[in-house]
Amino acid sequence: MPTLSGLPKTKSPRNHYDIYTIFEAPQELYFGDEKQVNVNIVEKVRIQSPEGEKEKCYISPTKRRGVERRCLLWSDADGQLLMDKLVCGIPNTCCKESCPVCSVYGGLITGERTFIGRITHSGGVAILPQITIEKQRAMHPAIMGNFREEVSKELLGTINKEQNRKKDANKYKKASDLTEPMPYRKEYAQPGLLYPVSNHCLSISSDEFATVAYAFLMSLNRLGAGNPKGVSFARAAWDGQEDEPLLVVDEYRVPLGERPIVSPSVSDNATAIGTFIKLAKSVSSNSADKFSRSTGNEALKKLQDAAKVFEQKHLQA
Amino acid sequence: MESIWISEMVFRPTGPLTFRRMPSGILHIMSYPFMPPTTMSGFLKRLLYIAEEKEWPGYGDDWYRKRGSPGSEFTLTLDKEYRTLGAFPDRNRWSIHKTRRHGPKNFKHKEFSQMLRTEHKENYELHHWDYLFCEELKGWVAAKERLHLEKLKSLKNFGGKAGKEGYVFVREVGEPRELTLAEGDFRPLGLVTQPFRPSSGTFYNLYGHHWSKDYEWSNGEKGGVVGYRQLGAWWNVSSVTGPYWAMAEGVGFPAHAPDSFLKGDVEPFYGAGI
Repeated sequence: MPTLSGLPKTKSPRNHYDIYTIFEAPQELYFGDEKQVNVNIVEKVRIQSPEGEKEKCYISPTKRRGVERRCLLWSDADGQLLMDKLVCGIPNTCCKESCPVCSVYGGLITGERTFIGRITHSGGVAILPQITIEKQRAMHPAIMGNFREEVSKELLGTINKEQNRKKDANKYKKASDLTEPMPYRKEYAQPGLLYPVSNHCLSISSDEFATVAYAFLMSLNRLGAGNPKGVSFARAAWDGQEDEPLLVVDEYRVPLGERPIVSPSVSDNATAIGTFIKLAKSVSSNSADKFSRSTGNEALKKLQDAAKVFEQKHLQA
Repeated sequence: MESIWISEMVFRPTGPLTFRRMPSGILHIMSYPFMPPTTMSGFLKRLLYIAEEKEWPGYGDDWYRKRGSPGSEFTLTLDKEYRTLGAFPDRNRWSIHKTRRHGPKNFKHKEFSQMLRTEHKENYELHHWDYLFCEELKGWVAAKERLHLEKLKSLKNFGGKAGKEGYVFVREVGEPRELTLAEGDFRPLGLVTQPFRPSSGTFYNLYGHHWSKDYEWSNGEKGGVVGYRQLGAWWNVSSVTGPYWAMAEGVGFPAHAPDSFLKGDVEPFYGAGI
């Protein structure tokens, strides 16, 4: 007898999980928006704050979700990629209940099966207003590889450079366009920007949380389009002691803690970190059965332990 | 004296939101700058299920095994005693981020899964995608009796997926307040619907639910939403004249507004309903 929800009953209870953190980009980062002519623009959002409109760099949650999913599918499962082991890809998801990826991130076989994802990605708006710098880059022409060489050889071969250069000016120009790098400009979000982000999981088992934790940790150094990539946890002294990551992991049935969400209109790093820590410490009851919050190093350990479970369950033969 | 009860709710988004504007195109995913009443109804119902730790309905029997194609006969909403009025950002504290997103045209091919790719037939299609950014959304739920609204208090701090994109949690649930009917010039809260035709504000094409007492759920319960009806509504109206449920003197909800978004086999809150 199938359940009303369509989900099989699990032995262990399903809980809600949230991950809250503040990312810091240790180098330049590019996540693109629309391309203008020969300029690649970083995706930014406009925020209405009490001090007026501000433009801020942005790590889009949907892009983060895609990176996480690929991190899972491209991890090694005893010599083959997990994707090949599960026969589950993007966008050709397998949509099976047993798939550790589809069961959390969702899947779709059009007209046949829909698996609603139970993880939501949020946040991503930088704290400081726009800090991007545009740089000169060179890209090889649009026609790449062998084809380009063949075409250019052919074109150049028909030109007698010394005598007919003027006559064949157009042909010559076309050939050089195809062989010479084309300059373009690219914007980069500057290092040191802080990005508060969060992942929210609805009614998932501890095994399913293992997928979430593994994907989240693996995605850190893969965030960004092109090169360079990667973010790290911003760190601060929670109790005036040693620096610990600004990271909170909640596992709960009832949300008994304040959610450490930093409003996108906050534009001061110290205020943002202060708010994050203050909210993270506001918990009305930290009991194992209703609400359990881990912070800092303890939260990181919780994610790491869960990620280990994922490796044991799904990445070994 | 005619009255209704209202609970004010404050929602906090944890990131970007998309409340898809309808009717819509495939490539253009535009967002309302607020949570429409119909969306709010379904969202609160799901939150209640989460808070009450009930079995998760919605994607099972009623969705797949009813007549017709999946989802064609299934709409999750609050019971007919409730009227959701939508949730709105502060007037000058929101923005719509317009961007482009790649989406696959075909969901069945393997090309994008490949790290070493030799076929290049498949490509993306480019969507326009709207995201709403705001700090908070303030919304209201109306009911004829106080009792129904008491239940909403259990939702504090619960969160869930809302709209097409995004996650929202409940920051505050206010004490239910009784509002009585008044008449005259007033500044409307939330949406203004017909028969008012305000000269200020922005017009939006929205939808209301149609309730049928005969709708039967797979578990045998009766009564539910069977369809939508299109209606026009205005937001950010500075002033209109007519009957209203008074929050304060000269501020309130247009008398017809609560009934505009739920029609069919339901008792109207105001007069005979229009």
